[in-house]
Amino acid sequence: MSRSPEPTPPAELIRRHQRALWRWLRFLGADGPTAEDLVQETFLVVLRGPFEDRGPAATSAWLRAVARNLFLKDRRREARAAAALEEAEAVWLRFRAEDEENGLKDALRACLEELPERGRRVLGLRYEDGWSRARIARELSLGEEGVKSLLARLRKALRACVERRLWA
Amino acid sequence: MTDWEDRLLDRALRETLGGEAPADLSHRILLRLRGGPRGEEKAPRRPPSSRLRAALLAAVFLCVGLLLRGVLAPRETLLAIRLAVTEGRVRWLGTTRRLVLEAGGSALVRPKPGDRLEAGTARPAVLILGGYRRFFLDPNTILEVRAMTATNRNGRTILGGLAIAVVSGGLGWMAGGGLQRAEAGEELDMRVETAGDGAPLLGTPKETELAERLAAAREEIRRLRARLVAREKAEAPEGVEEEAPAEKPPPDSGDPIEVLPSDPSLAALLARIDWRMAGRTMKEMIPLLEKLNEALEKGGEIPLDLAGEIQKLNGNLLSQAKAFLEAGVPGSGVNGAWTHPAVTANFMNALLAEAGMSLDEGQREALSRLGRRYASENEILRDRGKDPNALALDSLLKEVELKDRFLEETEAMLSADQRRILHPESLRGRIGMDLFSSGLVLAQYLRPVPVRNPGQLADSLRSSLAGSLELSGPARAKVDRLVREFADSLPEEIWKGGPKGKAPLRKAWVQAVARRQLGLMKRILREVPMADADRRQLRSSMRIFLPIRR
Repeated sequence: MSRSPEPTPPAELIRRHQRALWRWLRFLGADGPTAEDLVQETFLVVLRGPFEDRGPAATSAWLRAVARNLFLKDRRREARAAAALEEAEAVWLRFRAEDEENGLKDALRACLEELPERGRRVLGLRYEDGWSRARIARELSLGEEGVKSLLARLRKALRACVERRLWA
Repeated sequence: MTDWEDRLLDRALRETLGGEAPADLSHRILLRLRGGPRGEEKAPRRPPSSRLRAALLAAVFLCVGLLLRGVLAPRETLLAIRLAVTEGRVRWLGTTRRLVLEAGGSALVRPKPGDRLEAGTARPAVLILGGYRRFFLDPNTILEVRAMTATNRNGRTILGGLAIAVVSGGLGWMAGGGLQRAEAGEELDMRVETAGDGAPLLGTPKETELAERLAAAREEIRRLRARLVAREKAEAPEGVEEEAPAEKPPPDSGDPIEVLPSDPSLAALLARIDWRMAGRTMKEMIPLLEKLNEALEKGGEIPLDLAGEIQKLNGNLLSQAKAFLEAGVPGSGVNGAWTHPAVTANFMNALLAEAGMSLDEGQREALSRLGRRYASENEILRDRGKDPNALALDSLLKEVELKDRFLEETEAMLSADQRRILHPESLRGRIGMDLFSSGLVLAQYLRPVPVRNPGQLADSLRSSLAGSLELSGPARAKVDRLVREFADSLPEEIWKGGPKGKAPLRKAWVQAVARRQLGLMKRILREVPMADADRRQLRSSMRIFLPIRR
C-alpha cells in the first residue's frame, strides 16, 4: 500500500511559495501592501483548512486560486470580472512567471542583454532608477509621448524575445 | 500584446531591474497561524480605505455599544486601569480624559471603546498596563480600545477582558518565555490575569489602586532585600561563604542578550564569548581612539605608540569578531559580522555594563526586540545578495543602511549618558574610530585615491577599470565618458573641506561617494557592451574609490 508523502511543514511551504504568490497578486493589480496582506490571508486560509500537499505545482495552483478569490473579494467594489482573471492565469502559466529559475525572469535577463544600448539605458532609467517618463524625456531630448511609445516598443521587443527563449 | 502580457512584463522588469521584492512574511503568517483558527471574515491587517473604514468603525461601535449595554451595568463602566510609562512618551486620548505621559509617569484611566493610546514618533515607548504587564510600543503606534467585558470574581466586579486593536505600528510583550508581537490590524484580547501576588491586571479604580499600592510595596521590599544582600556581601570578610541570593541577577551581569534564541548555534556562540573581557577592552580602547582622532584631526602624524596600544586591544576584539564570521554570522567581512544586530547588541551591553551604565531590564528587552527585527531583515538582505545579478556594492550599501537604522533606533532607547559611552561626540561617524557604526563595514572596502581634482580621480578610475576589464575601443571610450561624469557629479564638499591627508574619514563622505559609484557601475553594466566575465567582475566589486585631497 502506498503511503502519501510527508506534508510540507508550514514554514517551508510559505518560504517556497510566498514570493511567487506576491508576484501573482501584484500582476493581478494589487498594490504592494495589499499584496502582502493577501499573501498572508491566502496562507492562513490554506493552512487552516483541510489542505492536502500534492506537490509544488498543484500547491502553487491551489494557492493562486485562493489568492485570486481573496483578491476578487477585496476588489468586489471594482467588479473586475472573474473571466478576465482566467486570462491572467493563462498568461501567467504561458510565461512561466512562477519559476524562479529558467522561467520568465531568466529569459528576460538574457533578452535585456540583447537590447541595443539605448534601449537598455531607457529601461534602466525607468525601472532601475525609477525616473518618470517626463524626466527621461528631458534627459533624452524627446517628447513624453515619444518616451511612452519607446517604452512600449521595448516591452514588445522583450516579449517577443522572451517568447522565443521560453518556447524554443 | 495583450494587456495582461504587457502587465506581466512590466512586473518582471520592476523585479529584475528595479529590485522590487516582497518582505519575508513567514514570521507574521506563522504567528497568526499559531494564534488559533479565526474566521475568514477577519479584517485584513491593512487599514481599509477611509470611506470603508468610516463605515466599518460605525458598525464596530454599534456592535460594541449593543454588547456593552448587555454586559456592563453603569457602575462598571467606570472600571479603571493604571498606565505607567517607563520609556518614551505616550498620549492617552480618552473620552473622559486626555493626557500625555512621559517616562516615569503614570495615571489611572477609564478605558472606553474608541479611546486611543498613541506612542510618540521619535522613539519606542515602554508601557506597563495595570501595574503588571509590560508592552514595548514601536514609534507611531496607535492602539484603540475596542471592547470591554466585566466579570465577577470572589464577589468583586472586575474587568474580565479588554479588546485592544493595533491601528498602526506594532507592539511586543514577553510571554511564554519569548517575545510576542502584534502588528497593525491585529487585535489583542486581554483577559483578567493576576500577577504572582494576586493583584488583578484589571479592576475597579479602588481595587486597582489598592492592588497597585500592594504591588508597589512588595516591589519596594524586593528591592530593599536585594540591596541588603548586596551590602552584606560587600561587607562580609573574605573567605566567608555567602548564601546565593534568591533574586534574579541584576541586568549588568554580562549575560548575553538573546536576540535570536531560535538559532541555537548563534545562542551557543554568544554564550561562549567572554563579554566582560570585550567590555573591558572597548572601555580601554575608546579613550585611546579619542586621542588618536584628536591628533589626526590636527593634521599630525600617527602617534605610533598610541596606534600600537590600540592595535593590541583591537586584536582582542578582532578574535571575537572572527569567531562570529567563522560561525557564519551574515555580514560583509569581519566587520559585517561585528555589526550584525545580534552581535552589536551584545557588545553594547558588555561595554555599558563595564562602564557602570548597564541596560535596565526594559532596555535589554527592547534591544533584544530590535535586534531580532533587524537580524531578520539582515537575513532577507543576505538572500537577495545571492542573486547572481545583484551588485555586491549595492548589497553592501543596503547592509550599511540597515545597520544605520538599527543603530539609530538603538540609540533612541538609551539614556544620554549611555549614548556618550558608546559614541563619544568626537568619534561619531568617523570611519574606523566609532566602534558602533556601520562605517566599520565600509572601512573594509575603502580605496583612498590621492588626487587634486575630479579630472585626476577620473584618470585614476579609468586606469583601474582598464586594468581589470577587457574592453573594446568604443566601449572604453564610453566608460571614459561615464567615469568623467561620475567624477564631476561628486558633491562639492568632497573637494572643499572633504577628506584630506591623514585626517579621519567621515562615513557621510564615503556613503555619498559610494552611492554615486554604484550609479556609475549600473550605467556601465547597462550601456557598455562587455563580456560576461567582465560583467560578473564588475558586479562582484565592492571597492569604494574615495578621493583624498593631496
